[in-house]
Amino acid sequence: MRKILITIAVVLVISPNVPAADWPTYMSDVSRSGVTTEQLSYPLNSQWTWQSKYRPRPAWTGPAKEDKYNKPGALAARVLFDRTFFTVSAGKSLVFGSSADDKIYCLDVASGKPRWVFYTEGPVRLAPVIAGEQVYAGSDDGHVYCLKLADGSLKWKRMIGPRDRRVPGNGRMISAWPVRGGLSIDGDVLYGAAGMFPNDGVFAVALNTADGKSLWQTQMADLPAQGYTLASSTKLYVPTGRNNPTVFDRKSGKRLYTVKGKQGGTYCLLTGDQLIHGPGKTGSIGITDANSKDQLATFAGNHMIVTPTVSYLHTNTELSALDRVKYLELLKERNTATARQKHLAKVLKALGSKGDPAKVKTTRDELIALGKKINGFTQGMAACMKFKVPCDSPLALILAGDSLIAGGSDQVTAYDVADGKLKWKEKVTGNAFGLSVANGRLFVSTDAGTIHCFSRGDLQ
Amino acid sequence: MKSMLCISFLFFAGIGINASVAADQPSPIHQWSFDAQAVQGTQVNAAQGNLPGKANARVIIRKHGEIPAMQMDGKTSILIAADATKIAWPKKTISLEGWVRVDAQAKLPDWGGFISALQDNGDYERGILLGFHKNQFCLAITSEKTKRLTYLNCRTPFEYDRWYHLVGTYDGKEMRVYVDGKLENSSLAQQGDILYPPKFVYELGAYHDDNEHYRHAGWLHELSVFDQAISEKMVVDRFNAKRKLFPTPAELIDGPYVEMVDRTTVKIKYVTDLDCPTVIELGPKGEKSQVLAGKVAMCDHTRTVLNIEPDREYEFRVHLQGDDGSISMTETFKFDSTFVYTLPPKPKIDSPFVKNEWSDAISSYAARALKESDSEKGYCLIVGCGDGRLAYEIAMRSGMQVVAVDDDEANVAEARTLLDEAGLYGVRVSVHHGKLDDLPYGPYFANLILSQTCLMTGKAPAGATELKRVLQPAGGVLMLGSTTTDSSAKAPLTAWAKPLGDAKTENVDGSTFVTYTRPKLENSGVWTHQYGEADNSSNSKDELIKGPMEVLWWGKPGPRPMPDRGARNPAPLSANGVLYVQGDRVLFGIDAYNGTILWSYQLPMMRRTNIPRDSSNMVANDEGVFIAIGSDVVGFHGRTGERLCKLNVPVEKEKEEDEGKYDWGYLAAIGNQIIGSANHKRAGYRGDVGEWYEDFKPGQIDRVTSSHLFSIDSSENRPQWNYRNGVILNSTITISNGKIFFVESRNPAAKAKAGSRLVEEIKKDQFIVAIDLKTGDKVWDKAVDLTKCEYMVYLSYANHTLLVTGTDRNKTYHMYAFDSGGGTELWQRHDKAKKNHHSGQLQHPAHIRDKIYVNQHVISLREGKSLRSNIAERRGCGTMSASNGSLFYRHYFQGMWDLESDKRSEFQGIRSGCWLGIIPAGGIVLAPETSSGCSCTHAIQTSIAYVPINRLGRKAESEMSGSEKAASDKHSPKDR
Repeated sequence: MRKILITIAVVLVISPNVPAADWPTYMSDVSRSGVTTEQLSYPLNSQWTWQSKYRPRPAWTGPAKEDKYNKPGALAARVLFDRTFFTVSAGKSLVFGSSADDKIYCLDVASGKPRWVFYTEGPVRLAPVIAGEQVYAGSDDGHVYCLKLADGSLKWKRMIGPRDRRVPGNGRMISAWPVRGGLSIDGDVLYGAAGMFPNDGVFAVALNTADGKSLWQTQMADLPAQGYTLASSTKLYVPTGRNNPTVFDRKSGKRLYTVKGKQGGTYCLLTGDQLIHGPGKTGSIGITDANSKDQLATFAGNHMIVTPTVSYLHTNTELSALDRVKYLELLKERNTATARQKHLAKVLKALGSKGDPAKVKTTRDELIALGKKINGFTQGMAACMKFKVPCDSPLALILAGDSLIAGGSDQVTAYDVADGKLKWKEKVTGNAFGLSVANGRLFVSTDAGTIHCFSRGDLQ
Repeated sequence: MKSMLCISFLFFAGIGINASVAADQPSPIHQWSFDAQAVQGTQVNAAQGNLPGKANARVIIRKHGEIPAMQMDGKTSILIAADATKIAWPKKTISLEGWVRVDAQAKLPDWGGFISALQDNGDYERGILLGFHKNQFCLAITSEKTKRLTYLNCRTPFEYDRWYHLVGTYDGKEMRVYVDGKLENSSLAQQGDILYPPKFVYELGAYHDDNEHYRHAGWLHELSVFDQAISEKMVVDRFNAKRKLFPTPAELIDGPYVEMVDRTTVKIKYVTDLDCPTVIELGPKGEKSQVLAGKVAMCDHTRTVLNIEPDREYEFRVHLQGDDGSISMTETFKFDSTFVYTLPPKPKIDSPFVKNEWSDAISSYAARALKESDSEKGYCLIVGCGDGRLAYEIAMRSGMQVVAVDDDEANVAEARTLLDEAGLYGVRVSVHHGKLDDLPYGPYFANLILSQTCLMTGKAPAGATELKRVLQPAGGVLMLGSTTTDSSAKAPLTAWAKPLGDAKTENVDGSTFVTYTRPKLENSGVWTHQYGEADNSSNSKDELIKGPMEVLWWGKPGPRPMPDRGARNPAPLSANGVLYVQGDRVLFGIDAYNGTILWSYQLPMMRRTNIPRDSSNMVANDEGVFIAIGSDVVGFHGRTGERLCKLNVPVEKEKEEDEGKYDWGYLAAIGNQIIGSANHKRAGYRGDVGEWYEDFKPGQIDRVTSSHLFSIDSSENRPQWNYRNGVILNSTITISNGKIFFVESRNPAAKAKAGSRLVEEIKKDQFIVAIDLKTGDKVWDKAVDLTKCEYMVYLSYANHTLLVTGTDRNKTYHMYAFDSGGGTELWQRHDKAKKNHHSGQLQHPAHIRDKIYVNQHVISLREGKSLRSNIAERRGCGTMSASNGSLFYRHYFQGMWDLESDKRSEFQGIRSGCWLGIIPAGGIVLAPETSSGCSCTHAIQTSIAYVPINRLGRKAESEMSGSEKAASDKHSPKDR
């Protein structure tokens, strides 16, 4: 009798009454939040491993080693969208594209065995999107494909560039307008972008998911499209490789602006009213106010996970949690105070030694007070750090339920979201750049072309 | 007993050296010898002067050869006195001496110090320093004459990881700086008593004043201060007294050459002068190295090292064993395991293609085609691929990427399945579905074009013109075959080939093969030397490159293997369908028409910069590329990378003592003649620490000169002639119409230093000289006064006219034109630089027919008249290149000025480097990645080629709208 009770209790714990969640698009949603409500039960066990015949073939290799003139330190790679086969998953299907053999793969999540493959005519560098019964993917062959999730058969395909012109690009025979603006779907509209070289035209598009018909198409003549597109309720953000993302009106396709600053980079996510993107030239994450296109703050780091109140920052060596709302409030106040401080310093200098003594005194007093105030803000900002723990898995970060999961070199690790304590660590083959969690399973993709599936042992 | 005797001998010999030095030499007033006795923990005791020092952290003493030395980690220094005013400093004369070594670091500060007692804070400058600025050692002194510091830099840059004896002296009238017993530079800028600051620290192993504190990363053996200016003889004696105790880097007589075979395997080749076993000490940068011993004595060494970590920088050095068993080591070399440009390994699985009646014919066809083509790498296009059997054969027999296309969906599906099963699908073979007579591919990309369906049916898969469109010029091979026994089928294939011109038809064992090898594009040009051809005209004379362009290919090399953008690096070259790119000690041979990296070598000794004051180290011809490395020129075959030759600076009979004294300077290839010049060792600039040679400063404007010119017959490696008279300015050597022209100085003061970097000495006794290319005999010379050419001086040639171009320190261009027949002066011009920054004052002229393009002017060649001066400013650093129809340059992005339409355009998103990086040659525009290191936000960093759209018979894909152009200007990234 006691044994039966324990069994029931275990089942209740392992199978909480929470609906299982898919991971239908890169980083979970169109905001690229990297967050899922899915809870994993630790320790996770390796269920299966899938190995590609070839390693992923990223379009771009590393950056210059350094900027010898300006000497900012080691330079970070800013164009990062295809270092592995990023996976998406819904129900029983795990779907990804291959930059090595041009195919779209669908594996059975339980066994890791192929359900179907579909050949495109160029590398598939960015993760497909699953929406309903369909899979959508862009290829370097210049087309967006819509396939049936059930069997991989082609429903429709659409060429985004003006015509089918193929040239050697990044070592393969591909379209002059490769689809490297990673697809995003919201409702029945699919967004994406194609084109590398602005002089040939770069095209941001909105397509009807049902038949691929164009809802709008906007040409850019100054920037390429490289990286996963993101969608807020009104805007579409298109990363542009080393430069900053550019922003379109979702409804009309009108180009609104390009984000300011020297950040650049293809790692992007949206919070309610802010765009977070990077890595900057030496590895930093910038936060940009969506309404002002100006950068609010930058943090040294590779990735950020944002919840309504807390930001989790991921550097090469650490994982930390920050009360973001409070921090940004204090930062704004400190910026205002610093600007005032600079102004007063100029005023004081202008007054000089022969200035009105009363005015000099008032200005000096205000400067002293401001200095104290700024120190207070700085201390307050430091106190916003909820935890900071060492992390030797710096390559990828997602949040699944109550766990932060990080990808590293030959390993994947999970941390407790409350205090950063290490919950689980497991070996993988290669550098773990891709993480996704769906329906009780963790999928880890590496630059060795390996996909690992982890879950608790009895999951079917 | 024998060893005891040896030890005793050495011991007494050592005492003898010291004793003799002590007898002749003045005693230092302060001296620190960094050995285990003097250094204990953080305490550093003085050898002379009773001034013990304190390190801020524990320091390490290690032996280097036979001498002890203290390791400085960039975080530690030795404080001698926090209040240096209490020390009795020399008042009027002083010498500072050090045995020092600077180590290569990821992030070196621009300034460094060995002995530091100064303040250099804005306008307040006092004290003394023995240290370095960037990669030049320096002595700094303040005297009462100027009350400012003079930093007297050595002219020759130092090498990292190498021991030097450095001495700076000041006798109250003159500052001097010596390296390894040789006078490097002197200055009369300071005179009178030395001025010291009222508040300063005395520190060793750092540059330290109130504002800066840069600690040394490297090694110190001994530092000394004298209260007199020691004589040159004493400097030499002191150097000689110890130099043999230091490990001197062993030299390889050839190499090393480093080739990444795959991601984890590296092949290192080098040649030693004696048959000896060698040891390689190798490891990831900053980590423990492994030792790989070679047991066999040989000269020609090839070492293959397995288990290299991918994507890492590595360091290695070679240990050589001498005849007497002694071991010497080379300097530390580097390579990067990221630089792998081969396709993934071929699968080792059985063919999925079942043997059938076509197997042998297809296999034989593949073998025949590959034999006909000289391309082992590149693209093979199969038009009509059937079941994919031919694609399989080509992929398995070569390193080519196969693009197969068929209009039958069933064929495509079958081919994909089988080739996937063979483990080839994707990177090595891809199969497309489409129309065969209207191929979707851009022009010129295919090295080899074949058809499986034609072989099987006898029917050509597409029109000859369409297949020729995509066939590579300068050697691309199109071969169609037919095995049909129907005799009438042969005639159609032959008839089909008629539009191709000189295709050949062969009948072999009942099969017919039609083969066409595409020649170079008619009226296309070459870029074989730094400025186009050896005439320095900056013009390829290509008639095809004009009008709107579109992308022909893009890809590697990216920024990682390339040198930092600023250092005025050598230009890429292109001849006979191959593009040659010189990265940062990496050399690439690239297919000019499809971007395939045919071969690459990491050459740790290959580096030259500041081309406005020197000549390039690389030239090309139809056969291959030649690169000057140290005293050698090495030739590599264009398509295979195989070594063609190795030539040395020839030693003249009467100058045998010169052997090994020179580096190879100027380089040109004219027919079988290799023209070279001789520089002093290390006279060339390396530009490794962020230099961009923009300012009017010593160390930037110094000209690299040659002591003599020579010619070698490259086919026989036979010296032909030598020319030796004045000091030759490398940047002026120009060849055209059977003559070599150059500027030389016959000033005796210059001749005494011929082959080194010079400025003042070469301003006197200047001549323009013409010598015969075949004999080296002087044809004419003319005395000239080019003293106004202070920033730089160029010589270029077009249409019987020689043009001298230079700017003065106030940035005015001075141009002098001469008739090349006898040197008669035709005209002079003196124009203020229209742009006086970012290379505006350094522009090399471009000649197009009878016009000169320079300094935003168009000038008539023979008359010197300004034909146009309303040319918009070109933004950014860099200089122009030209075809006969267009000019190319760096603007916000890569820029082009089409002369026929007078339109300027840009290739948005991509920037160029700070000298000549875009070359129009072979009917296309080649722009390898040259923006490396720019931390700006230019969207794309790639190597790229463009093709004129008018050659393709259609209009541009997109015309930029007004609003988009405005957006483009607005978002142009800022750099620097």
